[in-house]
Amino acid sequence: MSEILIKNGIVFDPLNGINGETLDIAVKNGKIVDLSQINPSTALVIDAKGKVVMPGGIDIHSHIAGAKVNIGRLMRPEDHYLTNKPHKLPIRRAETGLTVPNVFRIGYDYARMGYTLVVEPATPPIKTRHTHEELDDIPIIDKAAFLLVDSNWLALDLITMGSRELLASYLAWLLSTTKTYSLKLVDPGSDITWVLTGRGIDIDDQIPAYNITPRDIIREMGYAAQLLDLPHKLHIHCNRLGYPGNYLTTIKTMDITKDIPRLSDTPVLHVTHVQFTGYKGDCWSTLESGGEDIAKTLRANPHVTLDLGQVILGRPSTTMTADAPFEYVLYHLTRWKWVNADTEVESAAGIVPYAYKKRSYVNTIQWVIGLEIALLTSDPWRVIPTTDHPNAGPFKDYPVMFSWLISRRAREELMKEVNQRALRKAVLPALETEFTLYDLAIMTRAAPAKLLGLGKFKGHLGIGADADIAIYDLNPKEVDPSREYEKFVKSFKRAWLVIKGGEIVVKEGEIVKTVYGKTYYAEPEIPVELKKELEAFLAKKFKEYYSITKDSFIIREHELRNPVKIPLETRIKG
Amino acid sequence: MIELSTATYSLYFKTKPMVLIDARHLTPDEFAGKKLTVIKNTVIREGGRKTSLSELFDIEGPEVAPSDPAQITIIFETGSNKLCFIGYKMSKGKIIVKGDAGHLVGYKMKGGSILVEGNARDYVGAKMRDGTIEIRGNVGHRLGGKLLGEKPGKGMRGGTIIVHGNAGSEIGVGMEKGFILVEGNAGNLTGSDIIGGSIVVKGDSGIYPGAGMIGGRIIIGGRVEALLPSFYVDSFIPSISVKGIKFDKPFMVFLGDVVVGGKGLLYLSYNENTGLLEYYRSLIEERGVEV
Amino acid sequence: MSKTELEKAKAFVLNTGRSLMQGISMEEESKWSKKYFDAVAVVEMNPIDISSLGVRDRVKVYNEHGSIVLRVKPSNNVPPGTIFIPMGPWANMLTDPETDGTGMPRLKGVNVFVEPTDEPLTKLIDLLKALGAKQLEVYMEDAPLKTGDKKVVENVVCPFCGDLCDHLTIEVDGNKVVRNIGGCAISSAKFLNYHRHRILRPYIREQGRLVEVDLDKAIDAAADILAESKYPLIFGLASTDVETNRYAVELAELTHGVVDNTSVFCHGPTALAVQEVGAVRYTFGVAVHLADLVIFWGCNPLEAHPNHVARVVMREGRFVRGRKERKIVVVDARRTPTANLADLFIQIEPGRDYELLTALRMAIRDLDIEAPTVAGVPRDKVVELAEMMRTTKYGVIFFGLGLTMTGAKYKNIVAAIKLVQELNEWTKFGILPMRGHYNVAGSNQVSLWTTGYPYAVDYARGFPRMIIGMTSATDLLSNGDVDAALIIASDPVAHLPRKAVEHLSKIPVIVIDAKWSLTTAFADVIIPGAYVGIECEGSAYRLDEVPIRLKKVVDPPPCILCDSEVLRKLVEKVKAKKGVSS
Repeated sequence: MSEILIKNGIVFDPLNGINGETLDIAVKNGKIVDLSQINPSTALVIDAKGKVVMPGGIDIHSHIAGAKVNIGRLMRPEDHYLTNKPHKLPIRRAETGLTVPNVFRIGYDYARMGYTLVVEPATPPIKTRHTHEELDDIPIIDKAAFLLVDSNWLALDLITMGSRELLASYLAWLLSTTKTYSLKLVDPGSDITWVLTGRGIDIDDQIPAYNITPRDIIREMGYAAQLLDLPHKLHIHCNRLGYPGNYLTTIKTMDITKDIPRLSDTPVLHVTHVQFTGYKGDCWSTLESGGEDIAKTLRANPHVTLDLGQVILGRPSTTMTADAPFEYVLYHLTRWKWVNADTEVESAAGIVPYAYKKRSYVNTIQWVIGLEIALLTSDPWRVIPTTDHPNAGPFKDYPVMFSWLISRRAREELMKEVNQRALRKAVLPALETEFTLYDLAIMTRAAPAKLLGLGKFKGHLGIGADADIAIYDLNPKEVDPSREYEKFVKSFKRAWLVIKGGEIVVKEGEIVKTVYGKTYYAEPEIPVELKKELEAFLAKKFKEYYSITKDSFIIREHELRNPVKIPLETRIKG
Repeated sequence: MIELSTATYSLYFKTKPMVLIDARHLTPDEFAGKKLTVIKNTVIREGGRKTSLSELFDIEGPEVAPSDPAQITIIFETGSNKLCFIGYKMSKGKIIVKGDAGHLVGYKMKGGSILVEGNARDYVGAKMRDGTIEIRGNVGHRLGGKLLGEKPGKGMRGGTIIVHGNAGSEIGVGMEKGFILVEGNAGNLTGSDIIGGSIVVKGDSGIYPGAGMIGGRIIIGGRVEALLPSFYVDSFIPSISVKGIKFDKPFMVFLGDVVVGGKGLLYLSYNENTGLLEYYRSLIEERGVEV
Repeated sequence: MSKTELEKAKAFVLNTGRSLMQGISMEEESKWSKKYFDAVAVVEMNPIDISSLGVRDRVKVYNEHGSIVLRVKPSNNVPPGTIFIPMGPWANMLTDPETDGTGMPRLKGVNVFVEPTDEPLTKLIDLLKALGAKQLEVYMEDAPLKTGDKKVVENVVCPFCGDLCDHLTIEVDGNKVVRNIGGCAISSAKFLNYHRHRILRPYIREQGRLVEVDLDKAIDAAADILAESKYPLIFGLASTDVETNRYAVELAELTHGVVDNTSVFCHGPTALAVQEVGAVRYTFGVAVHLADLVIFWGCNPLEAHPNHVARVVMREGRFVRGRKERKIVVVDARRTPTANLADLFIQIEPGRDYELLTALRMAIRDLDIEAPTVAGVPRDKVVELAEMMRTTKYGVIFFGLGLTMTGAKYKNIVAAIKLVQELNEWTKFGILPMRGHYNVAGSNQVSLWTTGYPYAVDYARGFPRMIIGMTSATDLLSNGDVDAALIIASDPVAHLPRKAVEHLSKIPVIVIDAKWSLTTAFADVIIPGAYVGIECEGSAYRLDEVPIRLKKVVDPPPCILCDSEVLRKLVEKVKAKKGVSS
């Protein structure tokens, strides 16, 4: 493969402590190497003078592939009619869609922003083959997927039986047979409650058909994640999402960490799109931000991380989540289209189109929450900016979201147009914090890499890292991004140059080459002594519960385009 | 009749087209102010193949087009049912097709007028905002309607469509405002999902006119094949006049579609539908309302 | 009788559909066989009509589209005033190509005239000639079988219908399939006869005759046709795997043409309804464990999805112990074999489902129904059914082509989905379409993630768009709007109305198939493909959208590639000819 030398770039690489130094970077055979390893006279030389250089962006939570995304596409043809981009063969396939783009646009739009690794955060095991087929067709970016487990009948049986070791073994088996990366809980226990009774559930309520509560599920799953020593332990969408007053449930969820023994030094759990579960007040008209309380709880719980689910005002969205009961509620508020899908033994999902309006009281409060949490916590290693695409906004709007974090002026400009009654109740207008480009690099590169346990070869520009590099046409020495935020947004919307695995894929915001990335999955080791018991358990339960054979359930490596196995040593004792 | 200050462009097909043709750029708005040599290079798609006007048509007309599109008339001297997107987004001027037209005549039209002397296919006047479309022959389906998946109300938003022949199914689907007149017969689901506007069909209609309607009014002057149970009988009137179109005969008036909480008005001619409507007439009589 | 009375006496309504024998004969023999003729070239009539018309053994059935002479089979299942002809090329001489802008032609509820006659029966050859077939030679051969090495393959997935049974045990002896345990009769017919009536070599039509050529030459000829055409149609795809579907989309994008699949005349209207209002779905296991009310609406699974009832209704679930704790309701225009299973059978007037669904929606909300009957169903029966639905614990509806093909077409499905959404105010309820082909759901899925639309996608302007009525294959063919066709693993000549088939006689046609379909009679290039699920591995989606991987049980015949491999080569060739090789 070719050699590339990036000279004179203004480099932000927090995992290696580099904060805006002018440095050269050498690429060889898809990896970043020591400068001495390449021949500068034959290498392709890129002069990045006056330009920001960062590792490729990492999105740890974005709904990009699988059954609910695809039915989202089906129910939103109106989203496609007006957003087409003709192809440019052989370089680029045709693109369509805004809130639920086709696979090509997803890969290209992420690459255009300089993102190179994206995680699909919720896939039900029985349909995960579908998730992989879509992920395989998304160009350029690397991917991973989180597996839905909280309403899984086999897991709930094991939790009720008290078999912790067998539960951990089952989850290990699930992750490796479905080729997924971590454990996802969505409104834990609510899907089985929904499928059985048509209702949702709060953290300390009883789950139908079982003698346990969501709190029990979270604790046991958290413990199992510790036994499995997963790089990313537990990814939780809290109970009662969407209900005014739910911030208390979020705080209770974060406090559960004290009941989960920490067997390694990685965070115990990650609360996702916390904006949606940060509501204070008792009804929509008294809705307020629970941002302050959540920020306080986060500071008091050092082993919890979170991502925002930041609302983008003035933009359409298609809400899609395994939180089926919440989507049923949203359907009643919007009175237009609704998809519900109950999935046997495992989960459910709902999809409802929505749009966030600047003048709306509720939407403005929602917008405020995410930003308050980020600015009040002020810990870029633990607060990741996302929009829970496409729930709170399209991922394409990330640069706008970043501008609100790094520029008070950007916030103030938008605040002029939002609902003023909502603003009067918020703390946000008084907050002066502005994150720096270095902080941004932490939040979108270094921290997510670390949180995924991929910090060895992702999210940094040191020797040995994968050559995933983003260069932006922004000179922080001449342009203050906090003042001239429009320039910042423009440069981060269309990266000047993007390299993926050592190949140049984007030039001046346009795709110049299509390559296909890898899919990372975890393979935690199951002790030999437990394998027999697990096999017997699986044989019995598949026959009893599922409508497919165990053989059909298993996804084999050769079915994936570019699978990369991450083998894990576990702490399960036989 | 050609006005004195009108510039007319006449187009003749060189050969009979075999695949669908996208003629969206052949409008007075796009011709305005251009030289004939430039007009000849207007992009047309023949199926998936990008080509130019002069490859498919012989064209006659002034050397330079007037800068005001209102003064331009484009005549397709040979029509074809492959000719699609005629009058797309046009705002001024006139287009005449001396023969058949294809799909999407007057799609998203904003003003001006289109006349098709033969038949046209589906989506005539879909999402139209203003202007006039007249079709002398028959049309296909979704006349003045919306595209699949769009909210009701995203159909025709203004303007007038007159069809002298028959129309197909889903006339005006999702219409918000405007006026559609069909002198012949209509297909199924006339006026489904409309939220406003007026649809008049002088002839017969297929099944379930007004299905899903929320507002607006639909008048069927002939026989109706079947009526939905979600239309409640309101009254019996001796005659009706809509936008100057008079029906001197009795009509049964229904309110619906109640499953969507609709308050639209559906007028069905009584004489051609006595079998269907006798029962409803007796319902009104039971109520004590004077027939 | 007066002339008008005579006319009236002869006026019937034609219904078409699958039958068990139609499926078995198609898989066991081929559509060129006598067995198929016996199963499909036949009219079922009510004995009352047979005697009042004075029919002996055959009738002439005709309307403005065509005229055929068929043997008569008396049947009490066919209501007087209607006739039933199994789906196939005879029925399609009479069906109406009009799709009402929905892409779905009128294949059921067609007005016809019926007369007793002594004329000769319409043979397949007569039909094909009338349709304009380009040649009538068929080089049907069996793939060579070698026995000796016995093995048993477990958990084989059946590549026939949307139920995608994955529990089959197939016993083979060499490459001969000897036994199919767990599969239904149609599945057995398919597996045991997979080697028969195969296309074993590529062909090109030269001067009216089929000439055998090597694969490269055939692919080159096919690539020429596609690269030179202005608006080609790529069609079929529901009986092949996900990978093949991906290439088909790429091919349409390359050639600025149209890619469509067989859902256009099957459950395409269901996808249109989801575009309009959404959906409320479930997977099979949910029904097994929870459904205490099962409604079959406009479908006949006992003949079209033979294992379905056993797998989903009869099976004991965790919270509902099988058939004894479930109520079965069947709503249909005729008393099908499935109706005989029902606790409650509701006979509905054909084509009027939308009315009944509307009345149910009203009854659920306790709104007054003014008419005493709705669609032939008495008002209090409607209220009774609504109450049953409202008070059940988990209700499921399986629906079929009775809803998509007749009356209000896709709006029937809109009403059905809205009914289920409204029932969710009261209780749990879901609704699923009974997809026909084993991977038609997968064709829709692939189309959605690559183009944003489920089918009928055109790339004329270099990006995907779906404008139903305009870009749907049925409309494009019936109106002669395309100038070339690539048919993959499908037989449109057997299943589309006459007018659509006739256009295939006027344009260059490429066929990729395992068996000699009727469409091969219209082909200019024929390329053999191997069977997914028997000779090739591949993935497919069950009708409830669960993705399953099909196995390879035996090797394909020598020199025969899997469909995806054929398409991959075709894509490469077309790219080269268009100058866009990567």
